[in-house]
Amino acid sequence: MKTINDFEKHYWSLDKLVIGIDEAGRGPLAGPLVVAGVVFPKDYISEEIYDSKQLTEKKREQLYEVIIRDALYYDVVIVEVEIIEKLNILEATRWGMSEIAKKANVDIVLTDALKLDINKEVVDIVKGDQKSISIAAASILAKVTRDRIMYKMDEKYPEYNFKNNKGYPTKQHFKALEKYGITEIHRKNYKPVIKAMQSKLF
Amino acid sequence: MRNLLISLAIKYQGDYFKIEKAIKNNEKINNKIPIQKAITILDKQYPKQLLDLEFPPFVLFYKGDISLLNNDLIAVIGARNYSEYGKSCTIDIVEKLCKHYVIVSGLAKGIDSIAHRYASKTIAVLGNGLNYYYPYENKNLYQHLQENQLVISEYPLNVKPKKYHFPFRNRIIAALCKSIIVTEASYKSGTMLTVNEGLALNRDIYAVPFAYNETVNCGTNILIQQGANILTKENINDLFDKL
Repeated sequence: MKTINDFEKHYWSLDKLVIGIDEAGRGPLAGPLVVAGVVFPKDYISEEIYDSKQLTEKKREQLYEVIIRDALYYDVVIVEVEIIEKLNILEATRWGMSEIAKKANVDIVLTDALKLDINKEVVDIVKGDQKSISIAAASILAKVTRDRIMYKMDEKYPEYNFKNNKGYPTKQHFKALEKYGITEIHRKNYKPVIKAMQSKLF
Repeated sequence: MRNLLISLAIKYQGDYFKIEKAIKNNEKINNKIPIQKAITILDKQYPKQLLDLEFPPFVLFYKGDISLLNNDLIAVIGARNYSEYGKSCTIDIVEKLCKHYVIVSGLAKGIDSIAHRYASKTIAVLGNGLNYYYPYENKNLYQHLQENQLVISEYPLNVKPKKYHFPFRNRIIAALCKSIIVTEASYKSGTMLTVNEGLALNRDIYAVPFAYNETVNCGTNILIQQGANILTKENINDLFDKL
């Protein structure tokens, strides 16, 4: 499959630099949120770079190397659990994306349906990871980076099977929460996590 | 500084002498990230062997895997109008060499395309911007090369092919490679120009011999007569140390 790239094509034809920004890890109960941004050279094409959720893990790992090789610029920000708890997940996402967007020396910022309040032209695209190669590539960098972090977390907390669930709410993850309680990487403002904390208390 | 070089190359359409003049005149343009991917003569990845040239390109635009330049490179070049004999020699030579060397060529019709197609690792050096499919019949090959291999050009993306670009481009092919193999060539051709560049740069030249009754593409026999190494199935293993 292939992205359509109407947005990139438009801005590239005006010789404007475009960064695509996306995130991984809004839904999980545990682990950080990872936000990434990618700037491709003008007229970049790839048959393979597509929405990270529709690719296999092996393919994502391969494409991660290709993206880093081909990008003019990329950036990855890890938003730790404390920040997610303090801001809520949506604001934490905005914060991470804004950090990347502000730092990048580009003309246009493309996001996956999220408006940012920054001093640059932001275009929020619904289903951006399927319509923009830059957003799709950012989603791959974010997803791969986050998965790698969760593999490390799995070594630290083997009871929760993070290597398979990546912190997302699965039946097995809930069972582990019931049995072992929460860890320091659980998001303590998420309902199922709060429930697990309470059931441990009483 | 490297951003400036790339921006100048884009502004002056890759014209070596205009870029050189702009540098000498200390021309300044904006120093933003250039929108096209390139390595410059100031970069660590810039192939040092290009500095042997009288006019080493200031900037090389590229698509694909730039790390391919770090390998031992061999040029395999030849005629656009090829014979079955030239084709089968090219395939055999490329298949033998490509396990140990990266094959460099010019993406022209004929022998060049065959060399790229049969190499597992290969670099194409173009005489036009990387957005142009030239020659058009090589479009699919070109797309494969830019995604999985490496294509380079001193011309920015949208520069159209011009006749005088190609002989000038040949200097890059000759300078990149320690060895240049000609598998088939007519007497007067671009291939012969690349060989002349290679001789001036002290590169090793190898040529595949042609038959007694050959009258058109007998350029390789002339090269052998003039001192190029004769390359045959029987001696290829002895000529290249990695085989």
